[in-house]
Amino acid sequence: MMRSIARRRGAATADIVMAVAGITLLIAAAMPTLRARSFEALVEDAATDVETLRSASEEYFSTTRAWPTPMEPGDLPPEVTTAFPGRASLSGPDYSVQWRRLEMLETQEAPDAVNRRPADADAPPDSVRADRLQVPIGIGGVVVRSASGELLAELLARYGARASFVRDSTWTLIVGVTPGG
Amino acid sequence: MARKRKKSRSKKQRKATGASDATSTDALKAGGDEAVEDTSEDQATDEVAAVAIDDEHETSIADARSAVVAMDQDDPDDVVSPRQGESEPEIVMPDDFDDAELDVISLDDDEESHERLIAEAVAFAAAKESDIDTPAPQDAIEGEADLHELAVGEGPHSSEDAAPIARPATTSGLSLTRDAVAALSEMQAQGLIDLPEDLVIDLGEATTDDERDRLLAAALAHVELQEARFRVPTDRRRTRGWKGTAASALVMLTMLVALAPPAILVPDPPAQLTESDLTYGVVVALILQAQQIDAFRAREQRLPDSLDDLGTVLPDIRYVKSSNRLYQLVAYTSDGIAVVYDSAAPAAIFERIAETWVTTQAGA
Repeated sequence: MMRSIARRRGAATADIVMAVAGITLLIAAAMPTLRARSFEALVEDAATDVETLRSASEEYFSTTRAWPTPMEPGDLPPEVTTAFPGRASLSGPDYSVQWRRLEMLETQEAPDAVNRRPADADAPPDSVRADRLQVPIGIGGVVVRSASGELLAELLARYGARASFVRDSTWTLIVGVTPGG
Repeated sequence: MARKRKKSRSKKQRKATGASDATSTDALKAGGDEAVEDTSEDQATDEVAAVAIDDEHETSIADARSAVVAMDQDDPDDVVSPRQGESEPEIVMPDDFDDAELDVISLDDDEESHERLIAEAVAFAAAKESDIDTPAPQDAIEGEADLHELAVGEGPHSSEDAAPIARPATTSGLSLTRDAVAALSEMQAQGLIDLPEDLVIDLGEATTDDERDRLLAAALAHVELQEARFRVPTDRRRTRGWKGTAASALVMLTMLVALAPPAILVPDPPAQLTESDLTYGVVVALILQAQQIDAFRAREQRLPDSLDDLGTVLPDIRYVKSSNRLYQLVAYTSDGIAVVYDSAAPAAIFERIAETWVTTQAGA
């Protein structure tokens, strides 16, 4: 009787081991793909948020000649809330999106009627008459903060290194600037 | 109507030779409870019970004998006690039960007890076959109470571990009273048990203690027979051999796939940040911060005292105001190398990158 029990337990143990090993094998085989799918979904979500925020901000600028209000990470600018229906924040499972206002200088031809004097500290008085001026213009920036370097690298690869850059745990896309040659 | 239904069930029961059957002490308990609470209905069906007695005796004796035959045919070594390794269930017996009856109920001791139980059941049934009396209603109630009390104890097949038992090909099932069948049907409707449709167990004729004991012994023998039939193992040596090999191979394969998955299972890895990307990010961040300072100076005609005067401050950039016109910005790469932007003479890399930026709109 004991031998019968032992035989039966031996077969049952083998069955359990086979079942557990089979399930584990399937999980192990599917895990890399599942992980890659999950990461792709994360990248798509972040890229969608970035693209939507950029297009909405550019559309807002084209009509008002002003950029949306800068916000804290994850906060949605009130000027572009219609572009994110049903969304209360710009945060994802592993990232947050922030809208920032930036400035840069652009050299423009000085109007002839304008005789701009340089700053007192820059040059002696009545010495020059500027014919080219550097005018500050407003631009924008979409910043993605994430602890995932892979996510930042994917965004950098998508938008290119001319219009975006990675600094620490942030990826910044400069909006309103066209990278030249 | 009840008589016709009972007879038809008995015929159906005889016809069913390979169909499944299920019984347990709980079923007997249910029948006992219903019988005690509804003695008047039992009296009304005395006629029906009297008709069923003959069939019941025949089937009970056949059950017991077939149980003995079946257990003799089975290899004793291959018959496993249904409760190996578990604590023996305690049977609650009335005080007036003698020792012989206690031995009959304790089925899990050993095989000798099983054989002795069945032998006693057969002898008991044979002795009573010619001596069937209808007891007084009061006796019937007391007898039912005894049976109920006997069945309440957690016997070898309580309601929790009782399973539907297949009807043996050589025996017919026990019979229960109509009330017991109704109780079983109600339990089945509530999802507590799962009974085959052809289950007919009639205990309506068991009105004396001896008959109840005999029926109980026959039922327990029937259950033991079914347990023994279920637990006859097959030769698993060959199966165990290849299963063990397959299990080992599967475990090895699983470890291999988990630790070093083949390339076909691994998708392309995502992009990684390189040192060049990080250094380029430092340079661009310095240019962008310098643009903020220059825009401030163009607007305010002075340099900011600190970066806090600016609307936008990029992280990890140090600002040094060396004069009213000059300033330096310092940032560090991931390697700890300092990158300096000097407004007096920016490095060529800053100029090259800044020249590529063209705004898409006129001054806002």
